[in-house]
Amino acid sequence: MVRFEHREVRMTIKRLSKVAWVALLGSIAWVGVAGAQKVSSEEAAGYLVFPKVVVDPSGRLSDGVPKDTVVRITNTSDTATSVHCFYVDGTPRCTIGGGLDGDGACETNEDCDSGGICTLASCQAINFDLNLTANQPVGWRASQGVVTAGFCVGGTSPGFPCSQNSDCSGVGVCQAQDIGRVPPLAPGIFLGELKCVQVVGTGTDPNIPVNRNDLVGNASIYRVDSGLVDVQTYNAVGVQAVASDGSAQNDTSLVLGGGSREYAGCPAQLVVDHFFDDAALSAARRVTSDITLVPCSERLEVDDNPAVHTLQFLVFNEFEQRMSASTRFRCFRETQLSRLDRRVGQEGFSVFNVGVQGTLAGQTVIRPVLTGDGNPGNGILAVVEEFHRSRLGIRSAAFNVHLRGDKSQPDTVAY
Amino acid sequence: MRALRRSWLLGMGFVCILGAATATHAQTRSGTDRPGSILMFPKVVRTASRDTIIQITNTGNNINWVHCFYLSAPDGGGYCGATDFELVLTRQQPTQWRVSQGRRVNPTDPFGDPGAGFDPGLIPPVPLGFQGALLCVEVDSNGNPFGQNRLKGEVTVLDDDNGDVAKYNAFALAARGSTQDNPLNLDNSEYESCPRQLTLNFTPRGSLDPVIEALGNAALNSFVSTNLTMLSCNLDLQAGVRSNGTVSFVVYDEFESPFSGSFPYQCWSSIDLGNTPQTTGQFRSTLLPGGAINTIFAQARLTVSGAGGVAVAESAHSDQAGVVGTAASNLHTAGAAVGTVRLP
Repeated sequence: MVRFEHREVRMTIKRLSKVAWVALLGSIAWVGVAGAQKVSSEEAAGYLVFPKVVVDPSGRLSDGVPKDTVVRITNTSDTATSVHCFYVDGTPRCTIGGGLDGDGACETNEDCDSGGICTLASCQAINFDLNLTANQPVGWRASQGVVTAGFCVGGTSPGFPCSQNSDCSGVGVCQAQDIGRVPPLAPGIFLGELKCVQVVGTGTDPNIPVNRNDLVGNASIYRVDSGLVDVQTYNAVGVQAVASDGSAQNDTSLVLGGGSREYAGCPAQLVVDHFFDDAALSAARRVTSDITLVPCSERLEVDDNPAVHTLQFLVFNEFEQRMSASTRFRCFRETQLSRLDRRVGQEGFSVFNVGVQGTLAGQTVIRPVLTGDGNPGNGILAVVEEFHRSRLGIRSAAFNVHLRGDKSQPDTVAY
Repeated sequence: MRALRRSWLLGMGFVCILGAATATHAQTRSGTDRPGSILMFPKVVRTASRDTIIQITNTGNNINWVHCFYLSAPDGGGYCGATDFELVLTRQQPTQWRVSQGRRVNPTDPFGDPGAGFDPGLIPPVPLGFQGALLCVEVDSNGNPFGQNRLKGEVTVLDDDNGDVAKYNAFALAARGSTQDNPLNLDNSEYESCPRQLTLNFTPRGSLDPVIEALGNAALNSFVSTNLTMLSCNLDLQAGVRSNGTVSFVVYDEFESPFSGSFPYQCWSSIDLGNTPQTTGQFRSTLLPGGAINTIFAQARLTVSGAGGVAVAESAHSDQAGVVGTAASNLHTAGAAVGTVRLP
């Protein structure tokens, strides 16, 4: 009898352990799938990051050519959706003086009044809401925003924004279509990023994130004047929600990665293929690259003292030789590669310069240095632009960088 | 009670495994921002004014042998010929070449010269008038397919007449295991599957460009057009047999109005959207004859029959004097399709 009971207990433990194994395997599989949600520039997602938006109506930045950005966001779902967006202003501004646009925007200290410093102390966020119908694509010039509730139909300017028929040239008619309002960024200079979250759109707090992955977006940065048309396009980086069942989340804090992830985790590393600065692609064409870096963690609306992020760069040339560099930034950094590790005027000594590396192409691995406690997380995203200089002027192209790994620490976006 | 708890646990476990399997099947990790084992560069051109620079990087710490194929646009009979060459990339090595010149093996290339660096192998130039694609596959030292998932690539399309430049990322398909065989099955078992659906944000052909109208030389005479270049995921590089199929599409404008249609594709296809009989109405602004799109911003949902495919879009924006700027972009992807690549 005792023996029987003992055997029964053993059998029960055996059966239970089988059950536990199945449950454990299932859990592991489920966690694996949750981890399979990704940060990507090519799949629909619930949270979009446009690392670079620039508006410079009078062309006072850099080369004197006016700049504007066209932002496109598309709802790929058959169901309507609401979107809550933030422009994050990363424009360096003078501590003294009106700078380049009368509002303090600057590139160097020379743009400021005597004694003034050109600096980016914090990034102010401007929010707005969009309402997208099923499968609706929308777009706008960042300088002009969206301040009307209709588009011209017919006439000679179809698709242009309008409030009434007289806004439409030719015999166009203004047809109502209200996607919401987007604040115009002109007439001053704006350099910063755009972040958009798919939200519930109704109820007491319509800006609560919703578990859906329906948004795709891209941005085109224009440099245009009377004799130049230069356009570059990149895809917004999409961060997918772990669940996509349409349920509402609990709060307006997005957890990216980590054990309690609501969204996919930011990459552990960025990998950038680039030409070294000042590389001669032909006798008449030289190239430089600009990189725009933005943090994955951000306290939008209330962040007077944004965290400092330290980045390590490993740079490989075509001889397989490795060099390294590092830099720090707060909430936004847009710079030529050769100025990541050297000051203006010293670019020829940079590890990103062809004069140092000797080959045209390079690979740079960018790794954020984790500060340890995960608050804030130190994830970063980026986009790179190439500027080709020839006797025909400057032309540019943008491209998305490669993303590697899933950072162990979470990032948090709070608003 | 114990039995109930046990069946509950068992049920949850099976549900999780089933859900995981389903979700995993529905997803692909392949794409344009992750390294992979097969690189697909859908658009490579060499004309009198345009040229292409290819960049390929080994992101791993092991040596990487790579077998590449220039795939020519189909001829009148639908034959897609291929020219192959081999690369050897040391750990973390980036490399590049201009397709009009290829790359020679010359260890004495001077500092800063286009040939400086470890030469990855002899890369043949493509002839004037070349249009097509480039496909590169990780192999072992014997030339057999071998998955390391360490390749990434970019393409820069240059116009030496006006200085213009456009850039896109290569599409990378990851191998599921290291040892592979020929043909390469893009079935989520040997290699990841190809996208079934492509999403293109675009401006209809003939639309006015709002930025050029505001800042440039336009006076309601600016013009936007978009070229779509597609590479099938069903490629027989051994026999050069074309892969036929159909791309069905639905276009939505900002009024959410849907316009649908389809057009055929071959192993490699390049189409000026809104400028072919199959796409005239759906991809063309009402400013042009036959155009149906009334808004500046539109999306096209392209569904590729058969083996699926990858694509790149290149938009051209011109002012009234004909000054043109182009921009290339990768399409957004969804879904999974099973393709096959047969190597010679």
